[in-house]
Amino acid sequence: MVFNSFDFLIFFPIVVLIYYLIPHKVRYIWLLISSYYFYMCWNASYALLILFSTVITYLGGLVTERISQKWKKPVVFLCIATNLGVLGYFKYFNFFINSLNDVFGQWNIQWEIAQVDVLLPVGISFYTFQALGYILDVYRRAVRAERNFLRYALFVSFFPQLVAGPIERSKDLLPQFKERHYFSLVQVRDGLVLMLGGYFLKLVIGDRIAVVVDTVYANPESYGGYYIVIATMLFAIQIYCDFGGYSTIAQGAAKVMGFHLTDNFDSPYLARSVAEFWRRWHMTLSGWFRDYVYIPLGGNRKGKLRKYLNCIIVFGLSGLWHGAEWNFVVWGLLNGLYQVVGDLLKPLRHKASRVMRLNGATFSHKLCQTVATFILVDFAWVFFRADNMTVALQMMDSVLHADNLHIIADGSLYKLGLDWRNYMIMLLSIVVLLVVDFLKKRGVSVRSFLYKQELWFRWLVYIAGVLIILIFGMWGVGYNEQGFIYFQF
Amino acid sequence: MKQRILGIIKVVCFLSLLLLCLCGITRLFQRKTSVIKYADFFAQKEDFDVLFFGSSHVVNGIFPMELWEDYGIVSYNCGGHGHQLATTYWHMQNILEYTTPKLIVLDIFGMHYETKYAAAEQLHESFDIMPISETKYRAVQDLFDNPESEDYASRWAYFWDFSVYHSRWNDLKAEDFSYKVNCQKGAEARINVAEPMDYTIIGIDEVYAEDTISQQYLCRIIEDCQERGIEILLTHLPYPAVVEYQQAANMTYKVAEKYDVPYIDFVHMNSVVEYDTDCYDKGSHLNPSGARKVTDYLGEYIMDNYEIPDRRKDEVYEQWHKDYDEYTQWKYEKLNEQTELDDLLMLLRDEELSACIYIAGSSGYLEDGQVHRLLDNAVIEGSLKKLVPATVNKSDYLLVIDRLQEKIWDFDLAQDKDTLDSSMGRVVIDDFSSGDKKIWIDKVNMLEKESADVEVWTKVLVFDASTGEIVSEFERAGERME
Repeated sequence: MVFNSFDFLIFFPIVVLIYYLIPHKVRYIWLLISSYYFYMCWNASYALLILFSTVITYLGGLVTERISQKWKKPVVFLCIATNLGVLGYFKYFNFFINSLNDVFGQWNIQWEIAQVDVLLPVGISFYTFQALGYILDVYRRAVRAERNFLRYALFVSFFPQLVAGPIERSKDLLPQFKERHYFSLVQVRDGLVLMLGGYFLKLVIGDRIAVVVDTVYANPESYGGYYIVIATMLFAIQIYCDFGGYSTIAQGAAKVMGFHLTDNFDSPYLARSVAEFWRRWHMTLSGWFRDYVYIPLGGNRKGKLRKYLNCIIVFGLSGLWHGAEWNFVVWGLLNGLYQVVGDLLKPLRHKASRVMRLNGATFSHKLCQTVATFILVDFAWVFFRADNMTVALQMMDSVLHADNLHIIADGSLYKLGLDWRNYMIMLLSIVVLLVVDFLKKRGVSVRSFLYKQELWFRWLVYIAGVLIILIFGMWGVGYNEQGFIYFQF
Repeated sequence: MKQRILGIIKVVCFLSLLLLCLCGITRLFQRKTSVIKYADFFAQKEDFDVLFFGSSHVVNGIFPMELWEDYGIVSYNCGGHGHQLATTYWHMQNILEYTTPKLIVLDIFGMHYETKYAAAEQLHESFDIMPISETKYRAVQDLFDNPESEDYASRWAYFWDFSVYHSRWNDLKAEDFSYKVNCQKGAEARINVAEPMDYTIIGIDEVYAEDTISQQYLCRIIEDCQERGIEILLTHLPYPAVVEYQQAANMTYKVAEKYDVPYIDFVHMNSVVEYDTDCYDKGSHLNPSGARKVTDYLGEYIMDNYEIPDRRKDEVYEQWHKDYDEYTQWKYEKLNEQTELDDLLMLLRDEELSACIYIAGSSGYLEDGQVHRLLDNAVIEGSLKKLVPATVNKSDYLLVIDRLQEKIWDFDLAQDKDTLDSSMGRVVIDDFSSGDKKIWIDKVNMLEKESADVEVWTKVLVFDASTGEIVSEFERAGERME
């Protein structure tokens, strides 16, 4: 089941209604049943994988807490290895085999290993990381091991964030399942407004842009040069709206029931450096890698060289987390490299600024930094979106030899699946997104502003929001509702 | 407590307002074909006596308004484009929730189909207007019973069509804000004269298969009608049917025999229509000329074989007379829209229309065999004596059709000059040999032209047969050819 399906629009109100009608002490059991049902609507048998991961980490947590220090590490290692083993088999086994076969092919070795025919379980990377975060937190004594198995099972499978995050920390989410959540109209309203915002991002912007991006990326031989430039710029916004939209809907759905989920995005494209971008983009994953990989590797405590190496390792792993293809690894490494090079060039940049008497506090300077960051991040997105490395490199080559700038003026863009009216809706929506993000960065909450207005105005905005999504959203017959990009991770 | 009540009131008010807006945009964005087709159906409080079901052959081939005018039959054309028999079964179930006819006429086209519907979009024409009901739910469940099918996900669209039509924001037209409903009681006249496809009539023993999904649904339709006490008449409306379609239709004989229901196989009968003049397209649909012939045949058959009352004098059905007037006005509009002589002549096969048809010998129209056939077709009864001589002599030709007096006159204008009293007025034909071509109808020269250099190639005046008023004028003129 996905958020933008009719099934969810029926499922969610029923879950919420029953949630508030039943006694507090059994609510988490109801949410657990609902969460498993939510997942099993996609594939019933794969729910066993969540259960397996849950059992292993639950027992691992209990055991880790009780055994002596010298056995803790092996137990935690075993837990991590088991979970990563499952993840590796379902997500990376074929990637590994393919890479091995490629190597054999390069060396003319006539030995081809057969792939396994498995379906990638939706959200496996998300719930595996959340469960691993828990066991590591127990190991570090950041949290106590959860005794109640059903409550822990809900922590791993809580349906709003089960298949695409945010990846929650046990210390933040687990205690919430023990709290009493009373029905509050204000809280429900806030949750629903958040969901509305998420649907706007996903259906009105993300899926509209997807039409153009998919057309170009499905056929880069026909759409070369500036088509790729434009499609890639749009893809940057598409993936933000798609993933950000999902996260916002997840936050809203949880909030309706009284739960707080962590913010996953914070105006990422207004970042003024790649490092800042990664502090604002997919924040729960970045935080996970920081706390459970980067810092244990030594972080920035063991000298510059080690810091850079750690950075490259973390971003390489992050790339691999996003997809079992080399192009994802390159995407990750590229983002790591940006930061290493950025750090290395910092003295030079400062010196240049002094020599050229640049004022870093001016709007124009900040704008330049934001644009430059966007260009760097967007360049890396090519590797993320392309089918594979070969295609990505061909597209780069095509951009370098671009000679078709005329497409922005001769109507060619209207042949990519959207007419001019759709482009206008798209551009208008992007402007709205930019304004909201800009205000958010300045500490202004649009929702808070709205809630302070008169009733008639608030209702007008709510109703207009619903109608805009329903009319201009890409949904309904002919629309592929399985389209959240981050489900594959 | 007070706060809680206030909260509940606010939520209810907000949801009501939201619902109202949703209803509004749903209505605005809806594709109007279904509303247009069935507005008159739902407007009628009394039961219909006869309902017609089937595919587009029925939609284009049977005119309920003509049945009303000629026989007083209160009927509705519930045929649907692309309807297969499974679709028809469920459409009939939906329709029978709102009326109980005495007779259902069902066209069996498509007995060979092993599918339940042709295209999901076409179902909307019949399903959008139907209120949500258990029957509609069962219909959608049955028609979309394959979860693997691409259309499976579109099931919701039949309960809330906004899910299909919301993307029409890009395509809204003036007609979406203000539209005219179908005044043909569900039928759709398609105006064109097409050259028919070649075909061979086969024997009725040749059948497509012993059983098909469509045949199963035909049996269900008959059984359901018999259970409800509704009489059913099976038809195979005429079209130049290829062998496969004839074989499929031949399966019906066995079914009709099994259930003891009458079956009129127009295709096999091969005498009611003339495909040369009566086809809208190459191989399937009838134009209004063909439709009127079939409608007339069915009207006579129904009145002879069923106890269907003539409602023309029933005060309860007073509205039908007004509807017929509206239908007549619509017919005149269609006459005036025509730009091709062929299409206009085809439309003149209508007992409610009289006409004066002038064709200049120099125009070349008379050398077209199709024009001959259409003129023959237009007169309905009688023969054209001067058409061939005028064609041979390349002289000008005049045909006067007077439906009120049930007379026709035709003239080779190179030789004939005459005066005749028609119900449209006195027709005086001047001597054409002088070169000054004048045909006076009620003291008005029908060949009046703007300049001496212009020659009228053809002119057709169409009259309301009962009042003699001109309802349409058609003219083709050009530079005089010496």
